[in-house]
Amino acid sequence: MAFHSIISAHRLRFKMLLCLLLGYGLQSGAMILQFHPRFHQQTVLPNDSTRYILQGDTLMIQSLKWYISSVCFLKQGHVVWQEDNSYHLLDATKPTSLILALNTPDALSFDQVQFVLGIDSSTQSGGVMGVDLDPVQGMYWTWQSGYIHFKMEGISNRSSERDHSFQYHVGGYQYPENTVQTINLPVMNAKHLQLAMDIDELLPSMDMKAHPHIMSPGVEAVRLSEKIKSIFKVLTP
Amino acid sequence: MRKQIAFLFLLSFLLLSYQADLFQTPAGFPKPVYDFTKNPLDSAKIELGRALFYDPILSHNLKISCASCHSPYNAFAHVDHALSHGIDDRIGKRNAPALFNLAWHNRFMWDGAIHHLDVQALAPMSHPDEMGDTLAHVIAKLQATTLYPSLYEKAFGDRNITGEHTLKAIAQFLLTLVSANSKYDSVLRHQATFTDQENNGYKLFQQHCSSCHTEPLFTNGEFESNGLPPDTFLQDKGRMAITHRKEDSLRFKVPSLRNIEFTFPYMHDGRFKQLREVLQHYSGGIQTDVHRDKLQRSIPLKDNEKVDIIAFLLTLSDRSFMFNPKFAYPKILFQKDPQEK
Ligand code: HEC
Ligand code: HEC
Repeated sequence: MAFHSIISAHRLRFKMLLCLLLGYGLQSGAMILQFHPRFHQQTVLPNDSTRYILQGDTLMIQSLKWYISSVCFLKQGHVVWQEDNSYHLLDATKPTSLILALNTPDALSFDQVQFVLGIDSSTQSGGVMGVDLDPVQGMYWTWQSGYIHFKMEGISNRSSERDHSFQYHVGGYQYPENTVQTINLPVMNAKHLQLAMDIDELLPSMDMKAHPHIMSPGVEAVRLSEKIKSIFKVLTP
Repeated sequence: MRKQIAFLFLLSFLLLSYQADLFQTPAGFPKPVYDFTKNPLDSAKIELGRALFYDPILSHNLKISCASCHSPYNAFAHVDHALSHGIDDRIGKRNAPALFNLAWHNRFMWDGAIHHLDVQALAPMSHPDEMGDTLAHVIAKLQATTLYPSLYEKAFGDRNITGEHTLKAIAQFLLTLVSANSKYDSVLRHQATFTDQENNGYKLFQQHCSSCHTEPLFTNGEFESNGLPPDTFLQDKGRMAITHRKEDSLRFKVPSLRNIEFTFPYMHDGRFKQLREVLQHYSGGIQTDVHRDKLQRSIPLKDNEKVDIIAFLLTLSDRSFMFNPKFAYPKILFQKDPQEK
């Protein structure tokens, strides 16, 4: 689970015991995977005041949240490590949620990082879950079952709504309206991986005239999820 | 080592028999589709779920509980109203279905919008025409009571109320609502016999109705069209709203016909008040539709045959289910601080 979530004392003790038993350096947070939501290279911190300018459009980003799941590392195409119970809710207003501490073994060697944007279908159909996956997080549709994989809300001149609002709730996990995307990036072996998520590249794909509000699965959501997949980049190393 | 194995055996046996106490698959029923290993039944959790089910604290104006629309005396369907009435008397789009044998369903709502029983309660809680609240706010309200933190502690070992625990507890109560004790069931168990009329109705039922209202659950769990002409005002497209597939237009979840005597009015929009009208529809009112494989046209039924089918349908009433004290308004709610009510 995410860095900021509370690990119960029991689980921690159990892990420490496991470390001692195995004699390896299996430490909590051996590696950091950090996400940087950006707009023209600047960090995006959702609020009601910062204005962003894009091709003559002025906009505000009031909310930006997304799920990252099934984090794993590959070496020459083979998975060398994968996180257990790998579900993280990232919220751009909470910088700690953007830092994923991964319990990788010390001597892990890899050349690719892979993760999923959203929550896969077998998890979705498995009943209610807790912590980051708790529906209380506001990332679960209530009238039709399913997680919202990516949520971005704000105000834009381009929006055809009277209040100029836009709301993109991207979700849906069943073919052909599946928005779960697997992202695979080549990286150098390092202890601290930093990934950018360039929102300015996503915005032109948001058709705020025709669809200022996307709130359910469908073709538009699928199209957006494909675009979101392409805005992740490796910053360092 | 042997001792340990024997102990493990004993332990799992005890656990299983304990579970069996709380939930039993009736003889002749298929295996439930609900995965109990992910949410093992526990009497404290069921009790908590029952309290939540009957407590209007789940609604924004503190007046509507789940039981307001799902009354135990109507097999947990809505009394009398065609379209369910919610908060501030707002009228919903659909008729509240009866609630029982839910462990055998994997799709909920008339259009199957909900894919798991655990998340079902989110829909009415958040719907502006039903209870009109949010899960986060409901949790804050529950946390502030004197009653609930201790009930959650008993059930989950944690006074901190979460969405997960709230939804799991409600699902547990819903799972215990098993109805399989009607005259029909007694006849199958050779403890009773049908009258000639009921018997004739049963044969006609098996011939004309079983392909959708399949025994022993009296639903095949699928989405079908039974040829109702669409209501031009409500414009309800049924299953198509979820799948966006044309062939799913006007398909609705096949309702179970158990306890049908008590779950009027009938159909997703409650258009029929009496079983007579339902039989009238099947024998003369079917709208033809190219997308349908079953029920292409009305079923030719003579008047006496309709009466016989209704006589059979009345053997599906399970009074021991409706008057089961385990499912009734829980006493613990009376212990609530009156100010919190
Ligand atoms: C305002 C009335 C109302 C309230 C309050 C209400 N329901 Fe319902 N319930 C309905 C209606 C109407 C439907 C069918 C909705 C649809 O198909 O779109 C339904 C459907 C259901 C179903 C699906 C049954 C099936 O066979 O598919 C379940 C389970 C259920 N409700 C449980 C609950 C629970 C638990 C609560 C309390 C948290 C609750 N309901 C509160 C009206 C209500
Ligand atoms: C093609 C499948 C199909 C067949 C065959 C069929 N039904 Fe139905 N039945 C349905 C569906 C679907 C509904 C719900 C329709 C709706 O609400 O739009 C329904 C609803 C009902 C209801 C109302 C249940 C409720 O709780 O509202 C009754 C009663 C009923 N059927 C009886 C019968 C009888 C008696 C027969 C045989 C004469 C029959 N059905 C044959 C599919 C079928």
